[in-house]
Amino acid sequence: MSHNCGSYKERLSAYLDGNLPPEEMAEISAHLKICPECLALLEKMKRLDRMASDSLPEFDDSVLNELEKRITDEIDRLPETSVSKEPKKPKIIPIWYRYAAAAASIVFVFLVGRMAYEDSARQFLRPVPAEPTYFEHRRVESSPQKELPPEDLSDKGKFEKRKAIKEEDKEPSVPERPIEKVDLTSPSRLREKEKGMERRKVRPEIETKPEAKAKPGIIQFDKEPVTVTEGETETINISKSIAVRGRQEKQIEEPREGVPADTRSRETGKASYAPIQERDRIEANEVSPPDVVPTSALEDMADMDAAMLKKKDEKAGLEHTGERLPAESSLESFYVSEIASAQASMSGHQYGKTVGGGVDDSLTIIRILLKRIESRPEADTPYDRIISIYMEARANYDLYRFTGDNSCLSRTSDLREAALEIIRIRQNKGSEDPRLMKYMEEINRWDISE
Amino acid sequence: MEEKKDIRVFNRETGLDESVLAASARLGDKAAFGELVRMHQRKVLRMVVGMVGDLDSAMDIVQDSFVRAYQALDRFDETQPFYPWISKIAGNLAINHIRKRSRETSLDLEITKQASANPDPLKKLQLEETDQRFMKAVGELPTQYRAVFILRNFEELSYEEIAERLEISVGTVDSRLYRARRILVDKLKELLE
Repeated sequence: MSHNCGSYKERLSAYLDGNLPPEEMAEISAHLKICPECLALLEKMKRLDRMASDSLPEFDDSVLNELEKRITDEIDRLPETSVSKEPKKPKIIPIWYRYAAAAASIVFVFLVGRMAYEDSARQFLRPVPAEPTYFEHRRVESSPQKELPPEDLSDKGKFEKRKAIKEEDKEPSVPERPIEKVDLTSPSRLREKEKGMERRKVRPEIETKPEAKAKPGIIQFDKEPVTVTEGETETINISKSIAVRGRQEKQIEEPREGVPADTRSRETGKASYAPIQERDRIEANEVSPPDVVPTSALEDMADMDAAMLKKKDEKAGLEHTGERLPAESSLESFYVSEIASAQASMSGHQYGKTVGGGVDDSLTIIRILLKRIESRPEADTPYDRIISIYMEARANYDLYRFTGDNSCLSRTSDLREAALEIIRIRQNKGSEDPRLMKYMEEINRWDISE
Repeated sequence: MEEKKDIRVFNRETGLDESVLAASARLGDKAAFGELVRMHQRKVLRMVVGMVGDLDSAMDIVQDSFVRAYQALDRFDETQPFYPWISKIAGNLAINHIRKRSRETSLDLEITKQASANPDPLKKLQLEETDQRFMKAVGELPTQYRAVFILRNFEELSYEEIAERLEISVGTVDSRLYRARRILVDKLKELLE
């Protein structure tokens, strides 16, 4: 009988727990009468369950006393304010407060970030440090091309690069070109053609809506796709996303047929992270620009939250006051303001000539935030749980982007899978909440390839 | 769906309901929270030891769980029993711990070797040899299977409750529990004969 036992065996566990419909219980009971193999397995499972209940460890009083002492000691050390005096249900926070806090943080980041680039502010910035900057150090460590070719610091080269950088600063929000337009009649293109060079295709980095200036997970400074040409007229329009930068490095690592070695090394040496590095080297009084984490997507989500809340209230026949904060979005709101503060701190430190401290402060804040997310004791709703996992993934992803720590990347990967799995389950259960799709799209955009 | 049992605990000495203790603790009465700790720590510790298979780690996790619960008392619904709430916090922390540990282990094989060379962390539990072998086998289950097995056999949760706790479907609970049991039956076949 054993050749047909597969479907029975698989149900033995549920049979043991009485967790099958009556007809299936009867079917398996009948099978057990004629199949000693399945019966033996069922008996073993029963013994296993008994063993489980018998094996539950008992603890000495000394163990429990020690545990109790540790807990009470730690609670005694907590400040009185660490526990709320009143239940928080329902939590009522003016919605304007949330948006005002996030908006103020964003405006501050923007202003400080801009100031760091203004010529008038440059006099306050320190000279390029002898030691590699934080980001430079990271790049050198992570990049396989550790030996850089000699830098073209001729006046002409400087001029070209300064010009390109200035243009970036002037128009930071140029709408993205979805497809790279290449002028096939341009002189450089024709020269390449003559030499039999094969121009490397650059895939569009991220498909973003025109109004979405920036997305979480991607730090963008300009929207132009990479264009790398030979010789003196090297163009350095390239995304400064750390995440995207990693991808570009991988692309550039691949040898290109027909490209002379010196040209290729020039690209691999600089093009993959040229903007920040060149800014550091050429603009003698500048430091690495702050990588501002955009928050527009989270803001969108917050708007959606508000819309959903309004819809819920209307459905429930309640008058929508617009003042109630949905509990499940408080974590998002917290993250938005905290990450903005982290960035502000980083920018402020740069302005105050302490780049390293700025980065460290940002990391500290993100880590504190992560701890807070992890310590969130209970998900009140499935959506709240998704938010928690998503935010934990997001914080890990941000940490990875700042530190290059692969363990954060791995954690991001795990959490991303968990979030996607839960989202799928919710959708399979018929949930049509548009936020789920939003999260799914968001986390699928993250570049977490190691 | 089976009915939810009212498992609120009364303290025999003081006669206080745990909901009263929780309310007092929220108002800053740390002694009241200490009473809650005494009432529930044994059961929580059992569950966490079952999940992480290591008394030292389990004690850290249980300590952390109660401290976090204290800090989040404003979220606790006093009309509900305390144990499911604290066990949920502890269970989540234990799962996080297992994930982190498995990640670290897979990243660094040397650490794995060192860990395997360390004395058995279960020996502090004063378990019988059979029980030690059983707990060790449970500890070696893949995380997803282990969580379901522990919640079913140690916490005695229903399939629906496990599904809710782990945010998986009841069908997945069923299949994971079956696989967990099959693995354990194979590993412990000598003991189960």
